[in-house]
Amino acid sequence: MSASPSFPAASGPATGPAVRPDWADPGPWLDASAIPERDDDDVGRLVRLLRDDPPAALERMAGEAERLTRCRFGRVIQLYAPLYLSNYCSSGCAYCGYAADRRQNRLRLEPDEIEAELEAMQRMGIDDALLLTGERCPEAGMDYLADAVARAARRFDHVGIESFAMSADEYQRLADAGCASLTIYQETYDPALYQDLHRWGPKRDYLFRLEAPDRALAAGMRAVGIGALLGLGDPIADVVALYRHARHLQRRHWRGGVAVSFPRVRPEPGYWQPRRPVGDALLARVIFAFRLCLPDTPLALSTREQAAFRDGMAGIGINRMSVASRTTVGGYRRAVEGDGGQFAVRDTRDVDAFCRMLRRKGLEPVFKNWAAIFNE
Amino acid sequence: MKDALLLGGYEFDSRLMIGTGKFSDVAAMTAAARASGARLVTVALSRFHRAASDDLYQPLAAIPGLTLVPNTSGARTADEAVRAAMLGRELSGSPFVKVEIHPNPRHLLPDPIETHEACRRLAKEGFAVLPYIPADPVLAKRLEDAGCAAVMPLGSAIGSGRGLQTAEMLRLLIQDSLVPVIVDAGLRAPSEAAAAMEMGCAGVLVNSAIAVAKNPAAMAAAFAAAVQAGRAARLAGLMDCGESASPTSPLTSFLGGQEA
Amino acid sequence: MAFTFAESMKLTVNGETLELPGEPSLADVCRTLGANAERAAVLLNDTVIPRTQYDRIRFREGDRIDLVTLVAGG
Repeated sequence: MSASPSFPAASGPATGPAVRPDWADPGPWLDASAIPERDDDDVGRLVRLLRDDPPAALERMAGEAERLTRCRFGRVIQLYAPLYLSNYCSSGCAYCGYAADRRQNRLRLEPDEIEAELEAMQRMGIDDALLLTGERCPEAGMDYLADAVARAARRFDHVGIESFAMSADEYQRLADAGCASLTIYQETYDPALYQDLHRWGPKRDYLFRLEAPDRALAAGMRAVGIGALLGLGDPIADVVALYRHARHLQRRHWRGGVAVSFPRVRPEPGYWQPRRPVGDALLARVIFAFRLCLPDTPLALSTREQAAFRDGMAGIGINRMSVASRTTVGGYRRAVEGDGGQFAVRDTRDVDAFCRMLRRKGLEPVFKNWAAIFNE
Repeated sequence: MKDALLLGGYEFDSRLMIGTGKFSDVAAMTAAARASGARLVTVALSRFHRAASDDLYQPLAAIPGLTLVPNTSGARTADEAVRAAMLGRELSGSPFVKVEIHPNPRHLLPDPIETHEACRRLAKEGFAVLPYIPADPVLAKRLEDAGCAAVMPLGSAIGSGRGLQTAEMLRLLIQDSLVPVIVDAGLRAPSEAAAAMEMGCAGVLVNSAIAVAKNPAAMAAAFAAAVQAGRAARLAGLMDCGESASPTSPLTSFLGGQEA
Repeated sequence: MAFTFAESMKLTVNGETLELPGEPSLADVCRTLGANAERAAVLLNDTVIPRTQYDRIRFREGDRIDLVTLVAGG
């Protein structure tokens, strides 16, 4: 079925791209002739690592990234798994397999199905679940999500959500229901490109999304995960903005955890073609640079990446990884990943195979971060 | 004002604060105050004594552009500090107060619990609160939340001249601070003041190192130059440290030798 | 108890007991100590009196007054 967009194309700000706050603007660091007046967060170092250091520096960066990751996080990789609750969506993100105008079977897990999926994940050893939905729509709104969070929180020690941008009250409601973390990617920090790619729907509101992690942390969520979807815009501009965003959150919400993810859209037959594809070497460099500049910040890599790349990055910068992901709704009870996911899963190994790989590398897979018994 | 120190809504064109204690006499103190170029000068409070020695207000008022910052030295509890701050405001005519509560007379280390309570109340009263604190990044954030205009972590114990013993904690504290960080206490040499500024401190407060130098005014000038140099270096952007790690087997061979 | 004009008033000023004639003003108290009222802050029975109210202070028998001034300090 082909859902028709439920919002007119002009539902976003009619007056052109959003004006982004200073803390999401990489501008002063990208223009080599302009020296920023002050650089309290040492953005300049990140830019040098990303752009100016010769290819030969990559190996040295990797060595330092491994050392820092080992010092701060030990020889462990924290594992989590996503659970797609619903692929109904009200927005038209050009790059997304679940965009409202895509031919796509629209599904939503009903309560008994949610329980069955959670149970299947539990059997796999997962204790950290990330619940996903599309943009806000009648089929998967707040009540539905709060119910799913409560169900997951009864089974798992750590439950996070990756869903639509919400108000502070709504984040508070999910936190009360047992949600510990919010994952929300700005996709691109370039307001003009953002407006271009988010063709309609509530997600067109750049600032409402940009400020969502602030609202979540203020509302009592323990942690947020942010990211830029690499492949959309100028990768250097986007990751510099991402770094500034992370530093903004770390300064502003000192009790909150901030993690960074590095999703990318690959040129993939049958999927949207990225305008600015990011190769493995550049992605590796971005991750090393983030580890060097943010030694204490958890850095995550998902199963969007293929096995060889994930194996290589595990422990050298990256300390959190998703595992055995199904990006289709209801994918955990079916053994094989079908077509029509949100994106192509490239690392299709099961939990056992993935953990064997980690152990061969001298890394310990960890399923549990803390016990939810401490949560009020 | 270019690169002004912004403190509680006011701008200052010097990042060196000085204290007025421990000088041999008022003349040496005022000479040092002038030579330092400091705009913020701390003073203490005391009961008036008949045998009162020198009047401090007159000579300090004669130096143009000075703002007096009374401290709460002598207070051992939040109640006492709040009262001292109120008295200080009547005398200084400035909204600034340096909250220092150090009940232990031997090391004079600040009491974080009483300090937090005093700062919370004084910020509500509209003071521009500058608390003297241990170099504790969590306490600093709590004080920021309480409405302090800056935080003043110690480099080492007051008057010890042991320099930036707390450098590692200062680094963490500065990294996430939303208010200016001013290192207070423990500095001995101007090079330490420069190091604090290079690290990202917004300013430093120096007293003993100037007051007990052989030539206080000359030392004050030396500290002023060091603070400027350190600040300039910070703004210029220091070079990155070399990454020294050298893995035994290549970590990036999985990338197949490609580079972006 | 009948209300009478006091001949003098006993005050504790900076820890010292003073006996001052009539109903002393703040200026009288300062003069006795040789203090400058312009540069003194006043604590009356542990309460800070704002400068703007100095003229209106009426002391009572037994009051504790602290006159505080700026001194050198770090």
